[in-house]
Amino acid sequence: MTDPANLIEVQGLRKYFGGGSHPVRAVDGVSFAIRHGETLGLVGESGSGKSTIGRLLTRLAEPTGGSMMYRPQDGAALDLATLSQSQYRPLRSRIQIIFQDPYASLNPRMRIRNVLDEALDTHGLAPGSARLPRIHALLEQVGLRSEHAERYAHEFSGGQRQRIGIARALAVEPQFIVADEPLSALDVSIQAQVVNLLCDLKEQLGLTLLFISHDLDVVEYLCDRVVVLYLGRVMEIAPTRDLYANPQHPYTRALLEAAPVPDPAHRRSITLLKGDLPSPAHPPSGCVFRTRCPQAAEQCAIHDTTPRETSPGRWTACWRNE
Amino acid sequence: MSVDSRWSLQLRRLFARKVVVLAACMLALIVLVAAVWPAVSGADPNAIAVSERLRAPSAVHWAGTDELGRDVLLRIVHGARYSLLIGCVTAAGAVLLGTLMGILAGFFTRLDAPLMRLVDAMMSFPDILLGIALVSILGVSLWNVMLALVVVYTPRVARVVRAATLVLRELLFVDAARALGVRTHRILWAHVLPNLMSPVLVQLTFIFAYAILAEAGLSFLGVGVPPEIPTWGTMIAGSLEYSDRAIWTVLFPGLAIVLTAVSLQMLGDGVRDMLDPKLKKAV
Amino acid sequence: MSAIKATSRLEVRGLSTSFATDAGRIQSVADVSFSIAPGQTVALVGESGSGKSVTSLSLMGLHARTSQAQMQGEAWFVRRDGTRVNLLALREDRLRALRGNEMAMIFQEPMTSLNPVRTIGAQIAESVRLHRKLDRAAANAHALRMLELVEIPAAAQRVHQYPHQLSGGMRQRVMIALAMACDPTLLIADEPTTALDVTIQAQILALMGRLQKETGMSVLFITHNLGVVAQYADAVAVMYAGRIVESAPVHALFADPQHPYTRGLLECLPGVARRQGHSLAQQAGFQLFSGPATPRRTRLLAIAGQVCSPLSPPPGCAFAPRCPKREGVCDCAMPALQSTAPDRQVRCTVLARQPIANHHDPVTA
Repeated sequence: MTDPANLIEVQGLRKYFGGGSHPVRAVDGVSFAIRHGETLGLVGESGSGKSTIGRLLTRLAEPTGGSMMYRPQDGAALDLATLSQSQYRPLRSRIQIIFQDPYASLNPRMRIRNVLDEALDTHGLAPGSARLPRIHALLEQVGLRSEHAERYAHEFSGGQRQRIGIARALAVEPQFIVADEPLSALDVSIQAQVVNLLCDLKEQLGLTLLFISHDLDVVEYLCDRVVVLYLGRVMEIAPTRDLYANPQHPYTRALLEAAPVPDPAHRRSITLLKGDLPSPAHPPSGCVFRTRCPQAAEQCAIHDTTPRETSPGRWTACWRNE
Repeated sequence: MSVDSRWSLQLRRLFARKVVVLAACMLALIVLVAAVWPAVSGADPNAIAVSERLRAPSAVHWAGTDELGRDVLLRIVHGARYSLLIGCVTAAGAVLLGTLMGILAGFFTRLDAPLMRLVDAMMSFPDILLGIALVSILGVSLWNVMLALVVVYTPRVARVVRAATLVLRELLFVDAARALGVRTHRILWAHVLPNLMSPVLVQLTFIFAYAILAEAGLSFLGVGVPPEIPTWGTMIAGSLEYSDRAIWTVLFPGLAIVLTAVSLQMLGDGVRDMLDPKLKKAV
Repeated sequence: MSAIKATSRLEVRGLSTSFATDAGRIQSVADVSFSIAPGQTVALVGESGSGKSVTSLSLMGLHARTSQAQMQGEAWFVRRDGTRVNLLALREDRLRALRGNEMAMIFQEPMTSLNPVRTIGAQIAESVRLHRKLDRAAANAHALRMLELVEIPAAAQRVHQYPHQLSGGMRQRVMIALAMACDPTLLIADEPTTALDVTIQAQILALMGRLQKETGMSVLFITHNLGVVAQYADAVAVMYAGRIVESAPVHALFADPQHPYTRGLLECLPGVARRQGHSLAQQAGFQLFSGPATPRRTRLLAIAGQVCSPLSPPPGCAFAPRCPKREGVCDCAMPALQSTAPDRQVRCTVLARQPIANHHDPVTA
């Protein structure tokens, strides 16, 4: 998968929580690549490991195994998984994260000016008299006003706080941003505003975006390619249009079918997935989806489910697509 | 969005209950009297006047005189200075030391076990016993009493701060700071510490009260402040044998202790309620 | 003002609720009126601050006493025996006899709505013993039947388990079992699937639909998810800043949304925008924001601004500051709810002035 167009190459990434013979396998052998300048969607339900992957890439959590190759155009390739925290620190001005909860991600006792100040300070950006204008410019870039800098976080709505979170991530001039469910805590009408903002910023700043979400409609709108996860493993990877028009993996099909369409003229009865998510400490053997799959067969329990490339750019983990 | 300053809203909530207002006024009065009266009157609280021994409260001696003819009220007022000083220094010391221990234990997992075992060891002694032991080792003096009480109350603060730090450590804005590359000491200073202020402030007011009570107890037992210094505890200790004949010699110092401690506790309750509106009682 | 429909299970008229807060009394809900027929599903749709949850809590009388809720209006509920009672005027003990019995409610967060220290069987049995006066054995048997009704596998073992031993989807099923235990005629579901994964949501909605068909109960479904509304509801009431701004049967609402807020809500959904190719956009008058759009995708049509604070409401229509069709008259007074068709109502000054025939431009999708 070594391709000069890739900014990030994740290979066999694993994160297990807890020790003993049955650790919780939050991420269990995930491999994918993110190309320069693309928006990659990471889609899954709870327990899929998508948020954990975001935290692993930004080293807010330590990986248990696997590699995360970072290949900037203007520097040497580095394996993010093996760096120590102090070695990773300089990269924090290149790789940033936007969090899901706009209420918890801002310190309630800090003014917005200090929030952005801290970000700029940490990497020695815009020193001295250039600092305040830079802070104001950042706020305007995300659709707020310069006078907002003097206020505290609790004086803003959820959508505004999310904009502040975006401004904070942008302050250090990153080239790669992990957006960890940035819309989930927002009202629908505000989500559209933030989606537009993200699109604009990506355009203006040439960002590469990893968009983590469970909302399939937004992912379809925003992303160039999509990775579908289930119980810590990759089920399918495909360009967006192909994935939505012709999903190959049974889980992807179930996900797309289950999402309610806002059109009463299209009411349909769907095949429901039976049962619940299995325990991540005791994942089923073979294909982890087989306990709920409408097309499960006996060999699903022993088949190797490493995703295979079924056509250029499309990978699936289901043996039925080979 | 129209905004009320955080602090004015907090203060309004603090003084919403009459009891808290009363407590705050009482404390303000005590502090004022302790500060002003001795400076204004120049009288010596230790001046012995044997002819005036054990006089009941009268127009001249509002609270009577003690076994050495000294004016009880004057001694109470002077004693207030010492008691408030002891309360202040002990509370400040315990809070500073306890916060430091608590933050380190809460934020750095490797330090957690050793620090908390130390705390457990110290808390396994009842306050007064530990106080007695320490003063006995260090010697009877004003500063040793304060030092001993700081040691006694630090673990209390450390536990509370550690618990709060454990929670704060996992909060998203701390993660956000880590993701930015902010260094650990700055995270502790700018993110963790300011959000600890609430529980620490509550502890401050309670330790102030405990310290005053503890000093009184230690002095009463003879292992507190030296008897020459007129604190409320030494007054009670010195006059105890005369209490059957001259109840005012112990009653008024005792009342002073009770009044101060209760006011502090009421204020502490008010501060806690102000900082945690969910605990507010039904209107 | 329509006469009380003879066939309503619940008829709400002019419900208004206000609360005391540190900053004064705020009006959370004002002038809410709707009705639910037996067997019908009515969806109450809104975002944060719309007052939809407050409405449901007002109907059930579940506001905390410390909030000093004051409620006005009427909520006529038709009991099993045919008598009509005004829920808002009932004494607490009579309301308690209805709650869990003829009216039931399920909430968004099953983990916090279930008692963590009692087994799920005990919790269901408690409701039945209270309202049906069954003895312990009969109640336990009934609890087991309810768990089977909601399709919990291995119900006989689960009945002795505690909430924390179950997954989110299972707990929501338990909530439904608890609600259905006394065979209610009205179920109020306050965002029951918002906290669930989409595949689990599909299971729960299918279950609720099946139970509704089998028992003929009415459902008041509160949500912000328009997809769920489209798939599940019979009629919809859209709420904004504490008032109903539009109500209509579900097909009519989605085919021809009249209120600018409803149109805005539908258009800002990425899926809808793509499917209908922005034809709604031009008709609604929403301006595309200036700024570059990527060559492949056009911008989403977001509603500008955000909902106003209840402490400082706008002088006229609450949506006016964000409305693309705003005119001067909109800031003068709060518009009243007007009928634009036999079962459609809209709260909009501008629309009210137009003759009914011009209210909607048919969508050519």
